[in-house]
Amino acid sequence: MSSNPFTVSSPEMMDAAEMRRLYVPLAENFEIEDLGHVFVHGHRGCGKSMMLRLMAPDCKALERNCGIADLPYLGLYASIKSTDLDIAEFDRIKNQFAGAVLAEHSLCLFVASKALQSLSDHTGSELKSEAVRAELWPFIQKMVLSRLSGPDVEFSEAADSGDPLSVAIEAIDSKYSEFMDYMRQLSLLEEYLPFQGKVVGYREFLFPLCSKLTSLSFMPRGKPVYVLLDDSDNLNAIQTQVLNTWVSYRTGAKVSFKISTQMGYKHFRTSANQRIEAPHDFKEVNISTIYTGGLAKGGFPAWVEEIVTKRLQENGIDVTARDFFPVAKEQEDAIEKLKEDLKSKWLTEGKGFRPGDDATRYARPDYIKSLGGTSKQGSTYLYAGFDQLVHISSGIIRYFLDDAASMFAEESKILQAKSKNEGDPLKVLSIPPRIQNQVVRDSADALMIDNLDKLLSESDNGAAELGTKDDFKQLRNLIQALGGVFQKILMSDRSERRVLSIALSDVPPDEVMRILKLGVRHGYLYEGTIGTKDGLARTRLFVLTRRLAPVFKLDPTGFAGYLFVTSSLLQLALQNPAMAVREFEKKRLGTVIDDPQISLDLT
Amino acid sequence: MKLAINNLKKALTERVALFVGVASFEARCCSILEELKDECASVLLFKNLQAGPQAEQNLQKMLLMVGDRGVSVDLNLDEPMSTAKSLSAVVDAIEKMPPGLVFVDITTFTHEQLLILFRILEQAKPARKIVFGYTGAERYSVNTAPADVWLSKGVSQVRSVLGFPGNLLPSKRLHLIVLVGFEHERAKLVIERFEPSVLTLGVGEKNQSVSDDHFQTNCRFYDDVRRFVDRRTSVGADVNSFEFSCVDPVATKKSVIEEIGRFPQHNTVVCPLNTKLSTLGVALAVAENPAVQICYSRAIEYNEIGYSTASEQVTLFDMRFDGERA
Repeated sequence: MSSNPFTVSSPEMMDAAEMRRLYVPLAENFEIEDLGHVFVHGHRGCGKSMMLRLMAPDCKALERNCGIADLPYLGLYASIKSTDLDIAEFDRIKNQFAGAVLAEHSLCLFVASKALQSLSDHTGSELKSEAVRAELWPFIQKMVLSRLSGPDVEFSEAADSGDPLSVAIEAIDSKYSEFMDYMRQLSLLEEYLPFQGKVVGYREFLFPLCSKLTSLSFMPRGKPVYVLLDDSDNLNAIQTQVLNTWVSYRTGAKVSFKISTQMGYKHFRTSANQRIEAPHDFKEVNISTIYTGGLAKGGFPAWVEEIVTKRLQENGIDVTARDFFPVAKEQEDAIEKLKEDLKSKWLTEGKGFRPGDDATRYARPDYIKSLGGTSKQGSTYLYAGFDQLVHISSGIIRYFLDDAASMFAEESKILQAKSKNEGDPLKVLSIPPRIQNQVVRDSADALMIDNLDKLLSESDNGAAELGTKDDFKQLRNLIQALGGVFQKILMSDRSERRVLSIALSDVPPDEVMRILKLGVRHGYLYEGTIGTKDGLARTRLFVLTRRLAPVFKLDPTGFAGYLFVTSSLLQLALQNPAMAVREFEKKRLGTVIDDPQISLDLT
Repeated sequence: MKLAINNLKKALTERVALFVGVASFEARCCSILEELKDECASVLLFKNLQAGPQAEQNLQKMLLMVGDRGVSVDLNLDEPMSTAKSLSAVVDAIEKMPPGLVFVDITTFTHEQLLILFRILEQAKPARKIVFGYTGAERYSVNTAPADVWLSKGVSQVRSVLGFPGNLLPSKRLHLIVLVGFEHERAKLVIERFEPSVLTLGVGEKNQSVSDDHFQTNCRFYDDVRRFVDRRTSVGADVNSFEFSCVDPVATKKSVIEEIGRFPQHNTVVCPLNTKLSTLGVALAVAENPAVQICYSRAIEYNEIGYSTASEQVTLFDMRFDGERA
């Protein structure tokens, strides 16, 4: 099979069987399937869309091997694309009272249409029977047609013979189209033009429509409805305000919104200018903190392994994920030997509680160190093997798949050239370690150099909330400093050398926090919390993305410790990374603390 | 109609009652005015607020060419609404101008500004002949090696163009048409942002390109975008391609309408990223298909030092918005 098993497809384009074949449910790990509104934040490519799509009825029914009526909830998937709703014309009405009303009207219609389309697309043949149609018609008449057009409007006999969901969608789309026509009229008008159509709102249209769906006999009766809103960052500020208002109604027992964002959700204010807050109004899940949360203990690697195995099998490649991405044997043998040496010396020179502790902690760092310290030879360490690749992907499945796709393409090219010389077509059965290593190194360089350069050049001093040029310069300095410090720790003789995270030992000034947050937003850092040194409270933890491990010659396979740092070190790092690293070395600024609880378990 | 710039005066059958242009960092913003400066009764020059000192120098140079016949108006690249307000000065000026045609030098308008101006004229329906003139570039990215060609970097925002919101129905899937040009990074970002169900990539026709060199470069960038799409595949297998004219708006319009028609059950968004003449073609196509949206990706940084050098050729396209024959 010549197709690349690791290419990434949009979940919207996939049917339930394909979704089941290629993806592994993850939602239960984040309790997204529980009642109530949830915001799911995560960087692009971390699996949010897949997670939501897998909650649609077809995927859920396949997973549970049951009919739609037996599902624990009714999931209705609605993705929001760039400029679907956020059109330039909205600027004309954003400061008017009518703006909020019309934003709600259009968002209601948009979500209702998408939700019914999802119901139609994601229920297979279950809604096609005559009996279902007969029950659906009065429902659609009451909940959609009469509410959009008035109670006196009857649907025609011709419509009666058609598909009630299609008729409902058409009616909603037609109202939406009326609104878009009005917006087009507004495009170049200076003066106010009132909207003449009937407007709908959440309480009298969208909520009853969604909540009553599960009163129908062929639906999961009495069960909640989940509206799965994907990529909600694409809403403009006023539409975001409307959605927040819906969340503030706390209708979660009947209709819950599961809202995904790419870390760029505009704000959390309602139309009444109140803030919605977790946990009162909604639950908040950050998938990008996968490495600092409960999934760190083996969940993520196992998830990736299952996905890779499925994809390989789908493409007729019958090998395990570990065999497909083999380790660099010579290197691993050398590390094993170091482990054995450390174990044998443990009784006399050991630092850990058990012989295995020292072996785990020091063997790989010692090996990296043995390759030449900070000299260029250090780069001969090979970032290869399934486990290392999973660690390097830093909890974002898209990063793993993108790199894997490049590796597969590279190896295919080589085998194709060989096939021409040798005759028989050769199949990719594994990716040589040197190719794995080259691809992740290229990706790391691109992230550290090209991407930061791009962010820097893209930054606009006029739009301070997105980060100014100076902010991105400081972010680059901070990353360089952190990478440099972690490298020094790895090369040191400290008791814990595998450090990729910092914990704040005091409250940092706003400018430091802003840069740290900027790093989180752009995927350079991950945020979590951890107990303070005195054990009395909790403080913020920032983890450097493992995707940069090759740039700083770090061991990506775990972070058994973290570095408590002061604001003064971070402030220095923002301005002068080289001096920050030197100061760290000289004054031993910061304290490395062991925390075996957050090491990754890949066994 | 393509002609040598020094034949421009002869080619115009009427007096230029109003000249409209944009003073930018590119030297070619001055080329047409230099040629027509003595023929214009009035001159309306725009300048982007965000433009650097080179644009200001060019504005002063252009104002100097026309003396008290010229006025300048600022444009804001970040505020489409304000852009529309500023561009409506063209309609105001047309109302006051003596008999004659309106000459719009579209060379250095951004795609978005040009589209908004088109929509303003379409709505105002001025009873004048409008001649759009475009000076092609002899070379692009003159300060880089051929392999490192760049015209713009970064995209701050992908937005719908004011006046072309389309009528995208929520239940329909998306068909994205991109007219790929030299700014391939912008094309990739637009594709990534939209994740369309169907993607159609347009490449300039060989015989309808500004020059052979441009055609070769365009093909190279088209291939680059195509490779990016193949690798990403979040747009699925439905990637189509088509050819369009980079120099004839009517021909471009025909090609774009054909592509729109291929997927009638989809919402369509068009992103013009090639020449301004082809962008006019997109405007003509969407004027006939108002349900289609046009989008614009706002670049953050332009290669101001070496963006282009002007060619000696000018392409003219004239039309009327009042329904009369041009």
